[in-house]
Amino acid sequence: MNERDNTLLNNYFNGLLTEADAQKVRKRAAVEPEFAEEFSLREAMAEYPSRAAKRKTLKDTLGAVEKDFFQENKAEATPAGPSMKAKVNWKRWAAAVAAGMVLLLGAIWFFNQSGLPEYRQYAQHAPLSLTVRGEANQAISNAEKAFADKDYAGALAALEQVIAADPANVTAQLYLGICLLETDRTGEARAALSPIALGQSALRSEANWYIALSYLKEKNYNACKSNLQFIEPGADHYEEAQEMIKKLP
Amino acid sequence: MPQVGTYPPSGYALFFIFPLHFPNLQPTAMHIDQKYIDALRRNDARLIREIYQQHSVQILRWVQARGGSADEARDVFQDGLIVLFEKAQNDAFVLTCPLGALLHVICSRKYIDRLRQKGKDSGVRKTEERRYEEEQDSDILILAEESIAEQQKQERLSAAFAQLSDLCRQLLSLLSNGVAPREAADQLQMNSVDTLYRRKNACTERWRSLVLANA
Repeated sequence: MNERDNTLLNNYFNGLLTEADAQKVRKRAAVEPEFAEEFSLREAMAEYPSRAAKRKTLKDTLGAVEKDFFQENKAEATPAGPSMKAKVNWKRWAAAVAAGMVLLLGAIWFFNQSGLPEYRQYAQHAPLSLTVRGEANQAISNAEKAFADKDYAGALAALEQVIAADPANVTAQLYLGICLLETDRTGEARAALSPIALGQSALRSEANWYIALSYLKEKNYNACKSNLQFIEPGADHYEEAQEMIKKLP
Repeated sequence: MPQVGTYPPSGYALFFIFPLHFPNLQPTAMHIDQKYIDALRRNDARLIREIYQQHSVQILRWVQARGGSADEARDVFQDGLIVLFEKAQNDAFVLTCPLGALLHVICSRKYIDRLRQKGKDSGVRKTEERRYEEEQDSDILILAEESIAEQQKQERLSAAFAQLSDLCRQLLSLLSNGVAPREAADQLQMNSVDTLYRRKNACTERWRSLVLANA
């Protein structure tokens, strides 16, 4: 693959070619075997992350369904199989159906209430608690108190002072991001949270969670979902993230 | 766009041109089991459950008859469905044979691969492979091979992707999931979309060399 073709394919997959030039690339991919091979690889790479997300969702479904099958020593174990007709206890059956109806109606009511996920449903913040360090004591207690009182503008100002005195304070940086988010400065919130999300601290999942919430607030569901997928199993907010992914369009 | 796969260079070029001249050529009709391919595309749990109801016992028996456990049969069945999922990502793919027959060939291959990895008796494996292949329709065998090849390609992409930096993985994921370049640049604190694309090109190059190194 020569450098010119490499650049051409980069531009194609970055959407930077005119339609006429893009057509030429596709024609070459249809007739030149070596170019086709590279084009096919790039196509697969472009699509890979979104396919990986779908694959994961499917694996979760398979994991849930397969529990009812493949029982050892029960090669006939298909719950719907004709050889499995047992005596039906009608009273118990009726009670189960009634209970099921109640649950179903409850679920319908609940989901009609919630519909698409809303920012406010998920924006539950742990209290701010900063380690006392150096000369930022007053700023720290101001920040903690303001945050507890939901005075996010006030907490923001205090946190800026804390960070000025202690730039390495990741918790303060995270909460600065939360305050920016609560005061509708979503772009700035992401700018504050992004270094934490990309860093190695224990707060990276938290930061990814809040970045996702910032997009949820803007109703940018694609970006929200994308960021939720960075939260790994076992990390903070993993279950909530998975639940939200299912509810997003 | 005809599916462009990892075909050997010679002679296959015509295969790509052909559909452009005869777009409506459909040699065989769609099988009624096509709904299960769609179910895998859409993650339709109800229809997926039907796949298990209709086909899991056969695979369980087949694996157990060859000394495998129920757990192994379950894993091999899941592997088989993931292989079909990968094939189904090509929107142009239409199932023209019974799902059970295709799934059986794929699952048996997957089970034999497991035996191979465990270093189990390779004599038995070769006999099994030959005997099994002689019993199958050649179209189904070819389709199974293509599907498994697609899934193995995805595994190579996945293994290489996991070795990229967090920034590369986040950047490529955001763009693949349809986030606008401007938004992705802002989130990743890049000054401009140009910077984003330059970084993307570098990440892509790194990922590509990892994939090809492990091919």
